[in-house]
This record gives sequence, C-alpha cells and structure tokens, in this order.
Amino acid sequence: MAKQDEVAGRFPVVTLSVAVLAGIVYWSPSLRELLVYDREAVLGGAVWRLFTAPFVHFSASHIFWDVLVFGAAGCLIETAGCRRFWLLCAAVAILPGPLLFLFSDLGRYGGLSGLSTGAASYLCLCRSQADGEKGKIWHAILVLILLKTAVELAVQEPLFAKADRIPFRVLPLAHIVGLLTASFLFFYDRLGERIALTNNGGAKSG
Amino acid sequence: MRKITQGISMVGVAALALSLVGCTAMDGQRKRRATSSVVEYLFPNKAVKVVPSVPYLALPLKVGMAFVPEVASSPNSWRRNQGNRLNERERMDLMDRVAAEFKALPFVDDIEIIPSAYLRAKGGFENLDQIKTMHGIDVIVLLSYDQVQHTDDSVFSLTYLTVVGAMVVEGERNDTSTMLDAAVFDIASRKMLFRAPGTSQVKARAAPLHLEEELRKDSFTGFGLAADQLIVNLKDQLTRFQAKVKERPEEYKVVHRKGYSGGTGGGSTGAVYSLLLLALGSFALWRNRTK
Repeated sequence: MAKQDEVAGRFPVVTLSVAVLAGIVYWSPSLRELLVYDREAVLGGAVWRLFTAPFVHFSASHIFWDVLVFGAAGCLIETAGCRRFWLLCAAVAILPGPLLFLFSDLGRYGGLSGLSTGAASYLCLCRSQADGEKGKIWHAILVLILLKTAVELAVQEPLFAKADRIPFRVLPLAHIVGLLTASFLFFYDRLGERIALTNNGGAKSG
Repeated sequence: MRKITQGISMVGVAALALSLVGCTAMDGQRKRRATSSVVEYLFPNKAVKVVPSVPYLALPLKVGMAFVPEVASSPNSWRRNQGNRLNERERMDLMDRVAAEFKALPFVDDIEIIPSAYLRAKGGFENLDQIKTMHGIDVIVLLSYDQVQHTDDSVFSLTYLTVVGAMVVEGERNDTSTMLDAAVFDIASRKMLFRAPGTSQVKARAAPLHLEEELRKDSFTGFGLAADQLIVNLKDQLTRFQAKVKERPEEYKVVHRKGYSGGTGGGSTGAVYSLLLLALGSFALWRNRTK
C-alpha cells in the first residue's frame, strides 16, 4: 500500500493535466473565448471565467514558454513525491481572477505564468531544503524570481517577455500570487513538520 | 394514314426544334449579378480627393462591421428574380462568422454588427463619420461582394473592383462565381488598415427544369465558401498587420485607453526568462548529482 502511494506520488498527474488542459483550450478558439477572463462577461454572470483564465493563452509562444516552465518545475516537484502540489495549482488558479476583478479594471486576462512562477518558486524552496549545503543555487534562482517580479511591479514593464502579437502591459499580480502561495505552502508544511516532531519528541520523552 | 403520321411527326419535330430555339434564345443573354462595391460607397465623387492621415489606434479597438450598399444593377442583368442577392438575415449570419475572428483578438474590445439600413448608397466617409458617432466605433470592417451566375454558353469572368485594384475570377456556364471582400478602415484618419478577399466557384449542377432552385442554392453555397476563404485570409492579414504596426511605428500610432492593460494580462514567462530558469535548474540538478 505504501509502495502504491509512492508510485502514485511519482507520476506527474497534476502537471500533465494542467498542461493538456491548457493545450486543448489553446487549440479551440470557442473554448478560449468561453474561458478567458473577460470583465464584461463576468459582470454579466459568467463567473467561471475568474477561475478558468489561467488555462487560456493568446499566442503560440505565450503557451509554449508558460507550459515549458510549469511542466519542468511541476514534473520535478511531483516526481519528488510532493503531494501538496495540487493545492498550490488550485490556489494559484483560483486567486488571481477575483483579485483582478476587485482591484483592477483589466478587460481581459489569461495565462499560466502565475502557476509557472508558483511551481518554480516551490521547487526552489523544496530543493534548497532537501539539498542542504549544496542547494545554494536554488536560493539564487529564487532570488532571481523575486527580483524579476519586484522590478516588473515597480516599472510596470515586462523584463523578459515580449508581446509577439500585440503590445501589452505586464501584470505581475499573478506572479506575486504564485510566489506568495508557494512560500506559504512551503513554510506551512515545515511548520507542521516541526510541530509533529516536537509532539513526537514530547511523547517519547514523556 | 402514313401521311398523317408523317405529318404529325414533322409537326412534333418542328415543335421540339422551336422549343429548343426558344430556350436558347431565352437563356442566351441570361446573367444575374449581385454586387456591392467599397469603391463606389467610399469614393462616389471622383473630384473630391480623400487623403488619409496617420491613424491613431486606441487599444482596445472598438470595431464595427457592415455590408456596403448594393450597386444598382445594369439594365441587361437578369432581374426577373433576385435569387443571388443577400438578404439582411444572410448578411447578419455572414457578419457573425467574420466577427468571431475579430472577437477572439485580445486588442479588440467589442465588435458591433451594423445593419445595412445605416449605410447610405455612395455615403462616403461622411456616412462613416455618422456611424462612428452613433455606434461609438473607431475602426470599421466594410464587407462587399460580387456574385455572378451566367446561364449563357459563353465563358465569362467576374471582374470586381476593389480598393486596391480589379480582381478577375474566371467562370463557366451556369457556374456561380463569388467574391467577398473585407476592407478595414480607420474612420478618423480615412486610412485603410488592411483587406482580405475570399472567392469561390460553385460548379454548375443545374438541370434546366430545376435551374432556378439550383442557382439559388449555388448562390448561398458560393457566399458560404467565399466567407470560409475570407476568414482564412483575414487571419493571415491580421497577423501581417500586427507585424506591420510593430515594424512601422511612424505609420501607425498605437495608444492605450485608460485602464487598458492589454489582452495578455498576467504576462508570459517569456523565452529568455524561461530558458534562464531551465538552464539554472538543470545546472543545479546536474551539480547535485555529480557531487
């Protein structure tokens, strides 16, 4: 039974499901139009768009790079047996839409970049802990992600991404949500582990 | 008796011959044509020169779409019925299909389908200015068409005058040749942004008995097929236009409306950043394994 759980944890189900879903949505213009975050449509009652927007992409390069980073990070996280990854994906998919709706008058939004940032950050945190002294490079990547997000927030311009179809302004909110959710989940788990360890230690000594 | 029979036979043959001659004579000059022209609509007065200026495209764009009014038919056209004229409902259906392409674009805010009644024949840009004010649009997609159905023996061709030149589509007896054209104009600057044509030819299937019915069906099919091709060309032209806007900022000024953050909100990870992350991640994994 324990072995079965281990094998199930090693197969990147969540990552593949998200990537395949994003691919299906990209290839179907009608699905794209149905699922994209569209402020007017949300106001008209299409509330699901708040949560489905991350699966909508506007160009081939947009989906390619988003899915590549998310896929690579997600597969590494899942094959390492991390079961909380689905929670990270769910939170980062759900949170940006309502936040945008409440605090921004953005017309349309879509893209997995929030999940990519969340997955990459979570991977760095997990690996830096697992690799101990050798894990400094993961810290460096995490700092890079933090810096990139902070600079984009400050200058309101994309640092690396270039719009290949239309001019657009960068929207770092989804990236911040990804980064914060990953950090929260990681530290929450570590806190849980410490409490469990303390309790076990207490029980043993008692 | 034999003479009577021969007489009846001759009368029969003569009647048949006469009827065939009658058919030929009746059909010899038959042609029906439904046409609308952007050139005639926008530039009715050749003496008045329209000089386009640099367009300021405010994103997200508010786009309108309309069929330009039909051109009055020539006197030798077959006008006994108007089988190949598009009615308002068919126009709306066609516009809905083309509009779907624009709706999918992240920099298009909305697309307004404008009924034909709002467009005056030979209305020109003055008419478009009124529509712009009435519907709150900046850019308009003007759809025009030319469909010819000939039932004579000669090979014919359809010549359609577009804003960029004449287009010739070859046709044969009883075939239906259709040309559908979408020209996109920035109303304020009078500048044509791009255009996309769609043509189709429906091969003749009509037997003389069901000619009318078949021609009507062919007409409808012709418009549908031309619209399919137009949509394909439109996608291509849209991509080219976006590239042109980026390459020639002096010719097309792009401004953002207040509160508009672009269609790709959330941004993308982008090639450089993605490759950087992947390279660093791979290096970290490799380093960990080798040590």
